[in-house]
Amino acid sequence: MSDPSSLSFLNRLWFAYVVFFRVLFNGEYAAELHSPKALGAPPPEKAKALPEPEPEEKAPARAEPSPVAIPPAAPSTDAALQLLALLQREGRFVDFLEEDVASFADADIGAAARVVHAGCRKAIREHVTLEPVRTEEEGTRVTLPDPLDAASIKLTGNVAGKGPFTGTLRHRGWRAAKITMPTAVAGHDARVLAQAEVEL
Amino acid sequence: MSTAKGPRYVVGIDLGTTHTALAYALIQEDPSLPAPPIEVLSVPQLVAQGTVESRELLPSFFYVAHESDGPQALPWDKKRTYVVGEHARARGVDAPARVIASAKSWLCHPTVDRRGAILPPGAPEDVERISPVEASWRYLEHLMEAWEHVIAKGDPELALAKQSVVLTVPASFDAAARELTTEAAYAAGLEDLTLLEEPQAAFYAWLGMRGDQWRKEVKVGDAVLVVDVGGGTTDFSVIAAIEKDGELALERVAVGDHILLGGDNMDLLLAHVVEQKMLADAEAAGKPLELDRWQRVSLQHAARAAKEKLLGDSKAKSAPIAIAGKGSKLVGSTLRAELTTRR
Repeated sequence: MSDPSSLSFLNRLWFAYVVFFRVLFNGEYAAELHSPKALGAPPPEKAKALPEPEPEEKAPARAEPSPVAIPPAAPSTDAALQLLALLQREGRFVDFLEEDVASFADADIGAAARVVHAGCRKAIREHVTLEPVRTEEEGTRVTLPDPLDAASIKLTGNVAGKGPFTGTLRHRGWRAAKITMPTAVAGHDARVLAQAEVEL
Repeated sequence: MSTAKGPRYVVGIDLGTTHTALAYALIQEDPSLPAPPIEVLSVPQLVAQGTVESRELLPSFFYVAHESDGPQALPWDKKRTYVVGEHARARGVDAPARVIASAKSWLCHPTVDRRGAILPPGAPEDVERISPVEASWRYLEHLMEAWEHVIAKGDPELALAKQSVVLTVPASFDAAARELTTEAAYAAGLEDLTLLEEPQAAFYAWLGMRGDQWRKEVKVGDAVLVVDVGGGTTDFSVIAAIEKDGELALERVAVGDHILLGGDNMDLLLAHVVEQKMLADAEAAGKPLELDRWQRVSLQHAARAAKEKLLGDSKAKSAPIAIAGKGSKLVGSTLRAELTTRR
């Protein structure tokens, strides 16, 4: 298969169903599909394009299956929601960010910031091992390896010329060396970051 | 024909007042090989609603779920109606009448019926009360289920009930309390059980950490004072190094009374001091203040952090304390105070 990703069985079942009717009632589409290069691996874009309602003059009698988008890959947002829930639970993170701080004095914000800092720091440290990308002190001159790892180092200022580069370290950077998130129990709604509390 | 093999692991369980932990090591028959490493079990437990995490400590709390809580599903039991562990401790702050804390302290309480269904005290009607013995059994049961899930994974030879288990008890536990602890362990299914006194266990651990150097530090005739300051209790014991059959042996020669005073009490006192100061200041400013239950708990945690900072850093003169309000408006409702070394 030239396409590295592959559709799941349920997706293929639905896809086969849709393709059957399209080929039966849409000559152009059938011809396109019949050509040798298309028969190899239908790219995902084609799969998504299929359910869009085509001009219905070709098959008005036959009820077209109603367009249902092929479900995207397993949502990677669950882990992000979990992290937000964790930071809210341990550090009142969402409460803090959602509040309008413009009208408060620095001292008030500072007091709240202590609570958030203490809680979130504990939560992060329990789940993520953070390390700086560069271990040198900020403000010192550093010589960077050649070739540069663009993912972990960015150049600012007089960005020109060829490596190896020497410059002043302005920010050490952060890298997550290890991360372990808790497991959500099946049936738990990840979108609820914090339950509403009602005191009886 | 399969020969019944002996236990594969030696397991140590600390059934503490506020936390329970389990450590294990493979049993090495050949003494010439290096000793296998000791591992601490990461116990999967509910840490929040619908969230399971593995932690090395299992808080010794038992929460009886209300129908509004929904099922408290664990990876091995989807329909559980009670919670053991971190979530139980957290819910205990929200709904204190439904949680059992410090069941171990009840085990050595001389005047109550320790086998009777008395916990949690003051529980509402729908809560089915249990005895201190049953509470201890439940914590052990959770450990056994966690072991099954993490280590044994269905292999009956590896089940915790088949392993050689050492359970620690405070040196100050009387015979009745030790009997009840054993009862809880047998109820959980542990058969190969040895009770070990906590100060002795701590001392063995200390010796273990010294490695081969320990002979330089402990000689026959030495008496060692072991002080165990826990969260809720403090124990003093004296262990003597004696000679037994030509070898060095350790014997506990003296033990103090089981003192129900520990680190938590220090935090409570500091929190009380800070609270009085905050109330006085608020009164003076014309805005009388009252702390609710969560703020008091928050204050306790903050007092503990401040205490640790002041005791850990000899140069620090004061530590800030911030207590958040309960609603979603954090900035406006956070209370500020300070803990100083002078008062």
